[in-house]
Amino acid sequence: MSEWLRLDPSNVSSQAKQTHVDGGVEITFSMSPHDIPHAVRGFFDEKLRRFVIEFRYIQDESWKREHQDDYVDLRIGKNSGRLYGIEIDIAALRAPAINLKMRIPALVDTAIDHFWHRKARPSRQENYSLAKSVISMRQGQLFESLAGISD
Amino acid sequence: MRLRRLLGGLYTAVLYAQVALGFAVVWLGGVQRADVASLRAKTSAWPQIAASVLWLQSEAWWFLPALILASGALGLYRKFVGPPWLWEAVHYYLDTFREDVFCIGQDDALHHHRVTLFKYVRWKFCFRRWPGSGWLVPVERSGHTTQAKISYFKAPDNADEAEGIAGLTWSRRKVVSVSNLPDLVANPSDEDFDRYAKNTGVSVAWLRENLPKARSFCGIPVETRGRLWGVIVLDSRNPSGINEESQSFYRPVSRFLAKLLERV
Repeated sequence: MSEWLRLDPSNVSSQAKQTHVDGGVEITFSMSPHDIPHAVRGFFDEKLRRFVIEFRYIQDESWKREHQDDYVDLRIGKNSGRLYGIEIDIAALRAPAINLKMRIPALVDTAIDHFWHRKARPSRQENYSLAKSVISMRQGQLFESLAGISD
Repeated sequence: MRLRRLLGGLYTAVLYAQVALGFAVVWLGGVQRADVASLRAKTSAWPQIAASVLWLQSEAWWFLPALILASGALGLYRKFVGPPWLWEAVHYYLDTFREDVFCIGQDDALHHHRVTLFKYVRWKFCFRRWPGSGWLVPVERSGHTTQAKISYFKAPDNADEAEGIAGLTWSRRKVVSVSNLPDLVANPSDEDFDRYAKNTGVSVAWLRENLPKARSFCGIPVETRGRLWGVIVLDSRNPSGINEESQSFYRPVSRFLAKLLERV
């Protein structure tokens, strides 16, 4: 299992701030620290036979698996609706490792967007966008272990 | 908060009462099997003993369930109030958080910069307003002063009616930071009251009655197991007294806090 990649919450969530100024008074709305992942990792789960991307938040909660398409399932927090993980069926993709690294980010984006439009709570949109941008920023490190997986 | 300390004192008394009730239930169960005739023979000098045992045996059909129910009710009370050590730990974490999150001047008093923990309750007994609308009630505050008469705020299902920074934070489930609020102590104008009210989610009437001295706020949602439990509100008399990176200081505190608050 790969190590957790630590994330800097201030860098990760900087785009989600909204500031209004009213006669000198400044009011800012920003993401709840509970919705900002502080670590992420990608690894091949031998038991599930799937490539898994996991996010770590301030506190864990139990999650449920949401099936999206033939290749991707999402792990969604039962109480919060946050994105806790993504499971990708590498075998079903039937592609060499080099192609997987290129295809998986797009598949993940599509799956998250699909879930967001179909079932997600409106208040979770920023969390899902954040998850997508984290995967995009760290895809090199996240998918490093794909090279060791046989086709 | 002082009321809660009183309740915390009662917690220990209730704990002992629950233990005593438990022993009473076990003892009564044993009494049911007593042979009154032989007991009468053995304790002929004390006829009251046999009479008491007979009475207990005859009344046990309601006495035992009542004792068990009472023990359960006391257990629920203890769960609702939370043990005193838990609130001491919460207070410690709020104090620790306070040290990092404010820009404290050398001459600033402790109560000029405060961290207050509010818990969401569905129902609160109150005379003035509808009690079942949803409320954020203060349960703990940093420091050792300004612990009495802390305001509670409405957090109803209709989010537009949420009150105060606590209510705004609750309804949006986001961090709400307000700075450079007008000074309501030194000759405030009507415009100052209006601006303060508009940016903090309270009415002008409430402001005129309470005259808050804080000039910057920050509300942070508090969750346990993915569910909103309440909010933490930072307030400072300094117009820009709250550190912009307050959230990064909240992260290490929140893990322990969330674990503690799961119990209440």
